[in-house]
Amino acid sequence: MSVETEPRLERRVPWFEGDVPPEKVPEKYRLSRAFVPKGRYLDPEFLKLELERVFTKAWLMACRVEELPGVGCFVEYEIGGHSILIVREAKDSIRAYFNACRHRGTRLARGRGRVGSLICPFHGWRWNLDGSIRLVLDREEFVPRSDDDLGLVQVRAEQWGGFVFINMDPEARPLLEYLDPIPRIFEPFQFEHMRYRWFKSVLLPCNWKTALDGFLEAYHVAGTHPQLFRFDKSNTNIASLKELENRMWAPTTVYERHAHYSSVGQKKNVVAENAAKDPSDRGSTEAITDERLAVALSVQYIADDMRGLENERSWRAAEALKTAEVPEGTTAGQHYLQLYRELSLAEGYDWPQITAQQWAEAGTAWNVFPNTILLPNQGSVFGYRARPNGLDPDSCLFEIFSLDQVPVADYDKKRDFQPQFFEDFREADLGEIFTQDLMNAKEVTVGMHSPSFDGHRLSEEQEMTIYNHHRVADRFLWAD
Amino acid sequence: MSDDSDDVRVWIDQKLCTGDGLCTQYAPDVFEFGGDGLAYVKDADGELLMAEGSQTDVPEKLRLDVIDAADGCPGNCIHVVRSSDGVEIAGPDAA
Repeated sequence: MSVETEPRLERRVPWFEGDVPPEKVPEKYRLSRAFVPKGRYLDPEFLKLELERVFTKAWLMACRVEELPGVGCFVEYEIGGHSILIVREAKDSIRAYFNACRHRGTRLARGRGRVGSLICPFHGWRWNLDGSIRLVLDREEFVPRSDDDLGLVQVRAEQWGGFVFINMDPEARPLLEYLDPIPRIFEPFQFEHMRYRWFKSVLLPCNWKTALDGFLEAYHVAGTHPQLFRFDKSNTNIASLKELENRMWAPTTVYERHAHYSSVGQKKNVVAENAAKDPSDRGSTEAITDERLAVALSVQYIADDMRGLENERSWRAAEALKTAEVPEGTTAGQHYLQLYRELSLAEGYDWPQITAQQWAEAGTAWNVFPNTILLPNQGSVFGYRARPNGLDPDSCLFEIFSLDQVPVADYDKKRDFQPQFFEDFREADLGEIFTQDLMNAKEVTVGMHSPSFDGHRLSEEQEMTIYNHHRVADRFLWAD
Repeated sequence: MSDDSDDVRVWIDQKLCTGDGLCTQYAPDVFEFGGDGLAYVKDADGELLMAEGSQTDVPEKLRLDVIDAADGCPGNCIHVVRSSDGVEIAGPDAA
């Protein structure tokens, strides 16, 4: 190993009040400057620690409110060895319980469904939806116990942006405080008015964090998705040196718990110091002959291939842009947004004005610690979630969901929704871009197991989202 | 109710009722628990019809909720029948 370039000294290792001093972390798991040891991904012991100390203490995105449309609807959320039931117990109240009978521990319900009461499949003990005990057969034969003692044990459940988060730690800080600054920054994107278009789960042969890491930076775009900024999206040949010269650049920003990256423009060396995410800038690595076409094709490629982040309205706006008269002093990207806005308003959708400053703060993709990623966009968004698969550090359940804003008139409308599960992601019809991403999972894992590899060497500009996850995890793992 | 051929009536076979309460959540205006923990149907005035197997007319706006209740009933004991000819359209005896 040789260091050819001295790192710039003004970059500092992220540090926040309350962080764990390095000496409290066992050496094999200790972070150092932009370096993450591989044991944090590969050791079964580390996974156990995560399950015991992170997933039991952090707020976890468990489901969407729309998955619980009626009283009695429930969703089971599994994490590590734990099963938790999220239940709509009243029109205006969602609660969560440990999914375990108070008698002999049996799991009470599986998957998702709608019930009038929770009934243990073993001996038939029953609970009301509010968790209170309704029936114990032959109760007089048991040691007298209060109804409180026999009630289901609650797990904290709080909501933000149409999501239900759960937390197994009764002492945890409130969700909105934990999520800070995300609720403030995401406010204009109106996640609460989004509904599922689709939700797919796949098993991936990699650590749950490896699955997420691939979506926490855009540094991989030139290598993994060479077609993204070409006119010809079917050309997936490796990027030419000239294309690499013009690649997009996406610096990361870290916060106390969460982090994001922001695709801010072309070619690092020409990007201004204060460059920020601009939704009208779609980028292109080729000489632009018709700016309208470049913008339109980028929007439509994402809409058609990823089936999220864009939608059929933005697709039609892009189509209209191809032949539109772009007013003097307006870029094609700005005009596209104008067309998209007009179309949305005309069809009954709200269109909050998002300022340049708000776009800059929102960036491209957020790591919601510990295991969720959200990509804000106007009209449609993506979310990703990863969970360990049992106690195997090299296997995870990875989920992708596509949410669309609904028309104002439909805010209260109930919709049917079914998530889909695929053992093999190649059968999940995820499109070219996601498939390229998920193909990396196995390769990263095999390579990380090599004795030649000791840990991730991260870009201090474009990959600190990944470092940040581990820094925050240390606060849970090694706190007193 | 009119003679609309879509009109339906509903009754519960209390012998099979599990007391789950799903029906009372789907359509609380039609179903309610009696003091014995079993579900009964109610008449248009909200009176519980405690005679076993009592039938009641289902208001049109609650028809889908009542059918969902019959489909989801864990005791499989809610019978939704067409008013015009008594044919069961949802429940254990539906085709």
